Amino acid sequence: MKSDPIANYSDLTAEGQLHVRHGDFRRAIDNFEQAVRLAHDLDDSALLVKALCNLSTARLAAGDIKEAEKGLREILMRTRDPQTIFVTSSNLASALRRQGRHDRALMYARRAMRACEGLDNPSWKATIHNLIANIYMNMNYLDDAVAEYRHALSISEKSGLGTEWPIDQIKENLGYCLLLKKRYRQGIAIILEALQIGLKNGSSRCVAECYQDLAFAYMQIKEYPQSIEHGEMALDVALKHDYKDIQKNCYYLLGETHLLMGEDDKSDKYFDRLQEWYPHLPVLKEFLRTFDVSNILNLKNPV
Amino acid sequence: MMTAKFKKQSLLVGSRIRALRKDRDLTQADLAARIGIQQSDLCRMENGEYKVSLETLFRILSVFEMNIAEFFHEDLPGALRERDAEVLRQFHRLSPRSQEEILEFIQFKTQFEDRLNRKSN
Repeated sequence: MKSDPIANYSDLTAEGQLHVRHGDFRRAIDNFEQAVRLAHDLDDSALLVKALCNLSTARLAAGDIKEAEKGLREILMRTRDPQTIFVTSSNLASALRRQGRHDRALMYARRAMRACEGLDNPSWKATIHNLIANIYMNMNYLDDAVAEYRHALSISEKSGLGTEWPIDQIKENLGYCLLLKKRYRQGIAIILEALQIGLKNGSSRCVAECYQDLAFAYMQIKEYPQSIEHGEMALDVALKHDYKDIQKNCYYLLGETHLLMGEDDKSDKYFDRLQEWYPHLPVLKEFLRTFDVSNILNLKNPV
Repeated sequence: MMTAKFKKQSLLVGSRIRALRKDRDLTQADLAARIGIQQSDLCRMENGEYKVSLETLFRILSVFEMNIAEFFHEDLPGALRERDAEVLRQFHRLSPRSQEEILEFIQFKTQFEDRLNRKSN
């Protein structure tokens, strides 16, 4: 710990941002909570707003949606700073998307997009188009989503971001969107590219999503051993980093794929694990054994 | 050997949800609010145009508090519903090969009865 509180604040922020990119969301939250306390102690409102925005971003990534949303509207109402408008609006958009409130989410996302037009920050621009695409994908407007993902990628490529964050996430999302459009081979190729970048960048969340989506893709094209292999890898990463949504998706995918392979015992094992999350729903396992729900699921839809 | 098991197609799930909702006198707005999605999205889901998360799918099942027999129920009396579910349970205990044989047998019996019906008409 440095004696200069401003330097401490900067270190905590930089470290927190790195944790977010690496998918270590709980550690990022710890960093940003400390940064908030420091900003309070310093009585510096500008630093406090930045720390609160960063904390909100980390909480969103960790899935603490209601906590992440707290205070953002108040900050947005008071600020004229384009960077703050961008972060608060995009975080609100992201929080609303995760609650299934797509129209409101789009409204805030567009506000964030306008705010970053004058900023020289290509990764933010790419990120906001990625978010708009995510909203479209959740709404099942897949053509619009693909167009936005491609736009996000072209911004990243033109600005020379190379293989830096957020290219891995954008490619991963685009690949999954193509899977939903049943363009499996094309989707798999793009997800494999994302996986390489994610592994290189140490983006655990992105890597887990890549494995999960590959498991889904291979299941859909009936390459079951490949599906199982990727499903197990996704589950490993998800358990290690406590990505609960991916854990549940993997239990479903692995249960379903083993069932399709005629391996009922193994299928039962995974469906039982999924059932443990929903003790109030004893019908779950039987339901999944009876119905093919693969075509009504969007593994990236928060609702 | 890798053989795909027979499963009901997903499109049925959306239409079944619509039927169950109407059966329980729930409007789309009511059900959408209870499962936490927008009404327009629920409408599209019932038409097979909207995809949900596992979480939402299970929340829907939870709202209806149903068993699997109910999910299969169309307009059949209760006793028959239970029998349908039992048939299905037994069916899933069979090997993929046996399931194929059962399906072929059902097809054979259906065609046979259709022919009989046509003759008697």
